[in-house]
Formats: sequence, structure tokens, C-alpha cells
Amino acid sequence: MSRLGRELLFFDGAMGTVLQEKGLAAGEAPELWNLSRPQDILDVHAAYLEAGADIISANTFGANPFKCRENGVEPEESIFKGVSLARQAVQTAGHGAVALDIGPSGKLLCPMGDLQFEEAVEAFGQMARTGAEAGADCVLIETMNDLYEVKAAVLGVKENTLLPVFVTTTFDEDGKLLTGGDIHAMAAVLEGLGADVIGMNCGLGPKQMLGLIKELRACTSLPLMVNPNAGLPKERDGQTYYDVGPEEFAEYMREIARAGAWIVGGCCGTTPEHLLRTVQLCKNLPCLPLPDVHKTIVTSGSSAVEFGREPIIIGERINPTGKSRFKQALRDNDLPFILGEGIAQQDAGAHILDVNVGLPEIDERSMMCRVVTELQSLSPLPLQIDTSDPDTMSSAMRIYNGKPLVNSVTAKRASMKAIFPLVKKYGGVVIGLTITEDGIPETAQGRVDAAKLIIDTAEEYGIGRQDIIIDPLTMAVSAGQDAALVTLEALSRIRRELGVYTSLGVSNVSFGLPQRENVTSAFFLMALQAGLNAAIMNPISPAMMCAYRSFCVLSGHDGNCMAYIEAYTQSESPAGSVNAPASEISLREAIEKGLKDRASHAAEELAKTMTGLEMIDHEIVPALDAVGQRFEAKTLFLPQLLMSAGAAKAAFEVIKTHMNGQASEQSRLTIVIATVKGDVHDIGKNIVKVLLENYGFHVIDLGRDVPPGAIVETAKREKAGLVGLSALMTTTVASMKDTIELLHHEAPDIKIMVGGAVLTQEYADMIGADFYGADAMASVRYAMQLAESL
Amino acid sequence: MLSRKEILRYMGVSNSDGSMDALIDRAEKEVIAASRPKHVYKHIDIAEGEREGCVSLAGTVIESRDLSAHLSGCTEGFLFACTLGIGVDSLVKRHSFTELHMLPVVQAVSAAYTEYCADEAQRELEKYAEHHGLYLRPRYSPGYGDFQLSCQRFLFDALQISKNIGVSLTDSFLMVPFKSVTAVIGLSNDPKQCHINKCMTCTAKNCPFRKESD
Repeated sequence: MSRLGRELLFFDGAMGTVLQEKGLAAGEAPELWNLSRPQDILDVHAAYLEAGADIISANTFGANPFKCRENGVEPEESIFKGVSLARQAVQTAGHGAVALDIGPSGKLLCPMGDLQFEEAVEAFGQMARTGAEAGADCVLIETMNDLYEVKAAVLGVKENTLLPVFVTTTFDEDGKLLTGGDIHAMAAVLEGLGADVIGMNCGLGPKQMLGLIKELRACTSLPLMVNPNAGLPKERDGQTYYDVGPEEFAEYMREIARAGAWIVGGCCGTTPEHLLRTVQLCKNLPCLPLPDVHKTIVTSGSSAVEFGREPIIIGERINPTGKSRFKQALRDNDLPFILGEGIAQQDAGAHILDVNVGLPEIDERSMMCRVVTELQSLSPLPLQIDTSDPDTMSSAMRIYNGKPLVNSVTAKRASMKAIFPLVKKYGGVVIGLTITEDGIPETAQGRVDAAKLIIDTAEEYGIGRQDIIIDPLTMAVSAGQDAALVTLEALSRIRRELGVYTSLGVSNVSFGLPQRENVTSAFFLMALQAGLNAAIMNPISPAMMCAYRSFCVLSGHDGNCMAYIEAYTQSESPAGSVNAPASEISLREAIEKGLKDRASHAAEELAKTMTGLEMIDHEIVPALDAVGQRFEAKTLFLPQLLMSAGAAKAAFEVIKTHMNGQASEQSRLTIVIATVKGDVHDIGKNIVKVLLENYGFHVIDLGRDVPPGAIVETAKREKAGLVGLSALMTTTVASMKDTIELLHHEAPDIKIMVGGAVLTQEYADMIGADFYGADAMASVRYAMQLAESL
Repeated sequence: MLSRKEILRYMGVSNSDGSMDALIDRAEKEVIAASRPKHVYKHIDIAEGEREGCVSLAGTVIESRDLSAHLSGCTEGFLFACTLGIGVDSLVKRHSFTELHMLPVVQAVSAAYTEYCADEAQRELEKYAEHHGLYLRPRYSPGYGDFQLSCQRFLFDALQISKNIGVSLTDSFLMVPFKSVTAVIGLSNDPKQCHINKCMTCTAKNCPFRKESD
């Protein structure tokens, strides 16, 4: 490592493709040769060292516990042997260093896949511990195509060893990882996690990487390494080959070094000859100085948001403060409602989503982790983790798939002591509130001083000012005449004098006033004019978005006014539907036609004269019945049935809001539903769930890939009358059978219904189910029948 | 581009009165925008297994009567995989929280689009076949007949599917992203057997998607 940056360093080339030349079969794990054919491995290492490699990677790429388990070998043994062989080769050659090589686990992390984040961290950690014990000098995490897995790997290595960490990911020609992450996101996440060297390998040849490396060089201050394939894979007579020869490869590598790489080597298809030529051509090239890149960037698992360009909108609606419906959702574990708030804000134009789920009566930490995990799997927007509890903050930052915005730290010692170490460890941009030990300074000078204290203290922790955003605090103007002016003065001074970006929660300004949006949107514009970089606000509010879009047009942030035109030309035609009194229709009709907005509007009107129960009995249920019958008669199909269900749900929302949730759960039948262990296909189950809820059943959805024990335990605890199981594949029907057996054994009174693409009545009978639901309506009918007999 | 008839069939819509057209149009746009189709394939030698009901793919013996029957007479072929990418999983998840009625439509469209992308990717294999005077057998996937789902592991290792196209396997051998296909494709010098629909060799006789013949 001491030579890094003083001279160009050389990594070795391919292992796998070279072993294939020596007879490794397609699909055979190269790691197996550490034990069965060690001499061949030593020969490959020796050849690369002779060609001039400074660092060789041990033959441990796939020796993670998951793959080793499948291959029937002990991961520790395989890794120890792999690193020892590399050490031996280095000793024989008299020069070189050894990298423990860590490739992808081959599994996808939850919630999309079935690998738990901590399980991944532990697996990579185990590899790192063994590698370090065997004498590795550094760790190379390579060929990664998922930023979430990269994060698990870096944490695993850093929590278990002190070795330097090199990380390279695999991009396609569009500059994207297979899971969608782009170069900016990758650089920001890895810089945040404290990787020592980053770069790219595999997937592309040197020619394609040259362009990408220039892009990467512009967005990070870290040293770069580049290990391309010997060109793009080609096929001839059914055989894969790579056609960039050693000389051509070396020429490109020279260009890559000139573009700023400090370490170069090769991946698939490269040979010792490729490396030899590269070393000959490049060894006297200087290492370009590292650029000073100080961008303020937060990311999701796929994309990055940079501060300092157009102002950033941070959606504030995932927050229970002052919202009884949201509090209800938190108490009910109503994840769909909470996630729906996130998606609605994304569609309305938010750039970042704030997540605050703090409520005294719930377990904030576990709720925060659930919401973050689910939200990050379905929205490409970065998240702002918003909590006053450092433990919740720590857990959420750990499982977050990217570099988060952290809300917040204050200028109080205790706050900084709790939060800065987390930002240092996991990476993140932190919002600093100008609150001191004595409270909120009344003057602009006081807030500038507080900001300075935050920035200076962060520096002591090794956190640069690019990772700090200062919020000089919006106070209610109704409580102090110059409250807004002090905030704005502090804002522009902090921007100008301290050189950090700023944010404000703008809504506070109008607290206590009527028609709050008037004042809030005017203040928002003033703040933008004063240099505000990000606002925590409600993107669903037309007035606020109007102010935002107009500001972007007027300040030159909206090229050719495109965003403005797009936003306001569309809305002239269809959006008026809710308020169009000319086409007033009944709630019943709105549900039958599947018109969500109309249904919600009609329910609002009815709520003035009817109770929730009356509305359900006289309007909603008859409408659902009519639609259900037409579905059964095949004159209407699943999408239409579900549109009606959506409309009915909108009406239930109105009832919940008006009646404080009392009238919604009237059925005595509790139903537990789940997609069985081993199965991750849950579309059908989700549809059944919503229909059952529409009919007033209390449904507990355990999700997918649920072990029999968890289903039985929940059904017993919740005193469920019915359990619904779904499975898509023939192979997972077996685990449905296990679940039924366990239920019969432990809770024989609970009825069981089953459904799923491969099931038939015959099969359902065979595995002992009480009912086979051929479609979603059939399950509803069965549940109703059961409820009546209660 | 995508067959409406096929999409409606996946959705379980029997009479197409056009009422689904707007939803399908929208789903097509969304699915295509969310997809990043990728594929990978590899040429392999195929040989009859030493025992009956076995077939050797690139030297690895697979036990499956249905697969060996499907590949009978083939001495070479391809291992094949393609995927629409993880974006479609996110799209489906998003709809399950917001517009549930889009789920069956997106599901049907993405299934049709997967087939379409697999067919497109297979054109390269068709060229090879044509060049050598051979014919491609239909794709045959783990999970069909008695071709065990656990054989996914073999295809994943041989094609390095995770690394090449970003698909991974769950512990129960299901693929994520969920709109992904793996298959064995035989090459034969007899064009006749290449027109047999894969459904005809499947034992699920009452499957609603069963095509009797083309």
C-alpha cells in the first residue's frame, strides 16, 4: 500500500478462464482446485508475478459460505488454502502482495431476494477473517453488480479486519450495474463506506471501460483500479472467446492509466501475456494526482441526487406528526399505507423521501427498518432517515441500500457524539440543525456560529463539509415578527460564509395562521431566492409545487421550461374529475365502475349524513357483490374487479378518517394469509388479501417465503378462524403440505384454504386443505360462508 | 409487438371486447420502460446418458426422462438464460401498494415480454443452427415435466448467470428477478420434432395455459 500513488501498480489477470484452458469444466468451481490441483493454481500465480504483477488475487472468488455449501467444501479450508497458495507463490517469486478475492454471493438480498442483510455481512466477514489469518495483505471485493451486496461485503470486511479494501463493480455499456446502479451512486456509496480504492472489472473490454473510467474519475477523490476483460465476449462455433490481444490490450491500458487509474490489471480472457505487455508499456507512467471532488451526494441503490444544482424537494409526508391517519397506520402496521405515501410523493416530483415513523407506543427501530427496507426496494429515490433516536438511526443507516440523508444532528455535544460516528462508518450526508446547548439562537449570527461548530466538529470525526447540510430552522412567523427574516439571513450567510448547502423544513413558518399554504409557498420562494438548496415539504401540495416549478423556470434551472410545460399542460384535461359536480354519481355506482376518486368524493359527501356502518351496508357491500357476481359470470375480469376493490378501499379510507377507524373491522373472522416457505411469488396472495379486506375481514398478511412454524404461531396467537396459503410452483406445494400438517397437528380447528397456479381441487384434497380457491372471489365467498357460521 | 391474444389469455380474459386495451397499453409502456433485457448462452455437447432417462449436458449427467426425450437425437445444443431485470419486480411491487388492478395486467404483459425477449435473443442461435444445417428444439426449462428445478444450479454455474445477467437463485431454486428464463435448447438435424409444443410433453394436463398444438 505504501507504493500506491507513487507508481502505477499492476494487478494480475484472469484466473477462471486460464484454469478452463487447463481443463476446468463448465460449471466447475475454480476454488475446488485449491485442494485438488494446487500446483496448477501456483503456476498461474507464478506466471502473473513473473509478468510483473504487484498484487495477485488468491483463488477465492467464489469461496463464500453459500457456494461452498453447495460444492460440499468448508469455506474456511478453501479460503485458507487459496490465500496460502498465493502467499507461497509470492515468496517463491520474491515480490508481490496477496489480495483475498471476494466475488458476489450469487444470492440477492431481501426483500427482493431471500438473503438477509446481516447474513450476507456475516458471510463476507467470515471470508475476511479467514483470509486475514492466512496472510492476505488486502481484500479485493470484485465483479459486484448490486450496491446493496457491496455494502454488506465492505461492512463484513471492515468489521472483521483492518486490511485495505479495494472494490470493483461490473458495469454494462450504459454505465449501469445489472441491478441498475449508476457510476455516481457507486462512487458515493463506496466513498461513504470508506473503501480505499474503487474501480471496475469484468463485463466490458478496455475500450468500453475507458469512457466509463473518465466518468468515474470525475466523481470521486479515491484512487481507481481497472481490470477489464480482454474485450467483449464473442461466440465462434459455439465457443466463447475474447479477441483483444495482449498488445492492443496494453495500448488501451495505457490510455486508462492516463485517464487517472492508479492500479491496472485484467479479468476474463486476459493472460500473463496481456499483463506482461501492459507492464512493459505502462510501468513508467506517472500516477495522476487525485482530483479534489467535493460533491454533496446522496443515493438510493440505483441513482444519485446531487445538491447544489436545482433545489431538492424532500417529501415530508412519511411522518406521523399531526396526522391521525398516519399514526393509525403505524399502530396497525399498515405498511401499504405508509409506502403509498412514499410513492405518491415520488409521482408528485419529490427527489428524496423523508422517513419518520417515531411514535411513543410503537417499536420505532423495527418499524423504521421495515419501512426503509420495503421503500428502497420499490422506489429509486434516496431516503432521508429521520429520527431522534440514535439506535434507530444506526440500524436504519446500516440496512439502507445507498448513501442516505441523515436527519439530523444538532450543535449539542451529545447529539454530535452520537451521530457523527455513524456518518463516518456508514457514509451519509447529515443535516445539521442550528440548535445549541442553550436552544435555538434568536439571531442569525447565533445560528451561523452553531453551524460552524457542527462543521468543525464533523471535521474532527473525518467528515468533510461536503457531507454536511445546515438547516438554520424555520420558526413560526405568527410567534415572532422577524422569525422568517432571521432564518433567511442565517441561510444566506451560511451558504456564503461557510460554503455548505442548506435545507429548511419550510412548512413551520405558517404555523398558527389560516390558509397556511399562502404563507408557506411565499416563504418557500423567498428562501429559494436566498439560496436554499433543499426543502423538506409536501410535494402533493399544488401551491408548493407551483412555487417550485415557477422558481426553476425563472432561475434558469428548467431548460426550455420543459418540466414546467410538462407539469401544467397535462393537468388541464383529466385532473378535474374529482371536483366535477356535473357528473356526480353515487358511491355504489363509483365502486361498480371502479372509479377511485369519485368513490372517495361520494363517500365524503355521504359521511355528512350516514354512519360508516350504514355506508358499508347500503353502498359498499352491495356494489362489491354486484361486481363479484359479474366476475363470476365472466362478464367482467380481474383488473376490473380490482379497480372496484380499489374504489371501495378509497371509500373505506374516508370512513377510517371520519370514524377514527372504528367501523372498519366488523367481521369476527380473522384470516392469516401467506405465500408458503420457498415461494417468492406473491401476486395472487396480495390480490386475495385486498379483496378479503374489502369485505371487512381482519387479514394478517405474513408475506412470502413464510416457514410453517411462523404461520401456525401467528394463527394461534391471533385466534384466526381461517388460514389462506398460496404457492405458485409445484415444488413449493410440498411446503404447503408441511404447513397444513403442522396446522392440523397444532391447531386442528382452524380452517385452511389454498390457491395458486399449479393447484387443483384434487391436489388441494390430497394435501388436506378445507377449501380450494380457484380464483380470488372464490376465497372471499368461502370466508363469508365461514364468518356466517361463526 | 406483443401478442394481445397471448396477453389476454395470461390475464384469464376470455372474450376480448377491447375493454382491457387501455390497461394493456399502459402496462406495455411501463414494463418495457422498467426492463433491461439481458441474455447469455453457451454452446454445449449433448449425449445420451449411460442409463435410460438420463442425458449428458456438457459432461454433466442430468436425470430427467422428459428432458432426455426432448433432446433425443441431439448431439449438441445450447444452455440459455434471459431476464427482464429487477426493474419489473419493483414495478409489480409498486402496483401491489398503489394500483392493484394493474397487477394482473403487468404480470401478463411481462410474461409475454419475457417470451418475446427470449425469442429475440434466440435469433443468434437460429443463425448458428441455419449455418450448420441444424434446427433448434423448443426451450426446455427446469421445472418442466420431471426436469427438476434443482437443476437450475447446474445452468447457473455453467452460464455464470448471476455474474453475466444478474439473476440469482433463492434457496428453493426460484429465480430473482422473477421474469427470467433458463432453458436447454437442443440442436437437431431433423426439423420435425422441432415443432412439438413444449406443453405436449408436460404432465399438467388441466393447466389453463396448456396449448394442445400450434
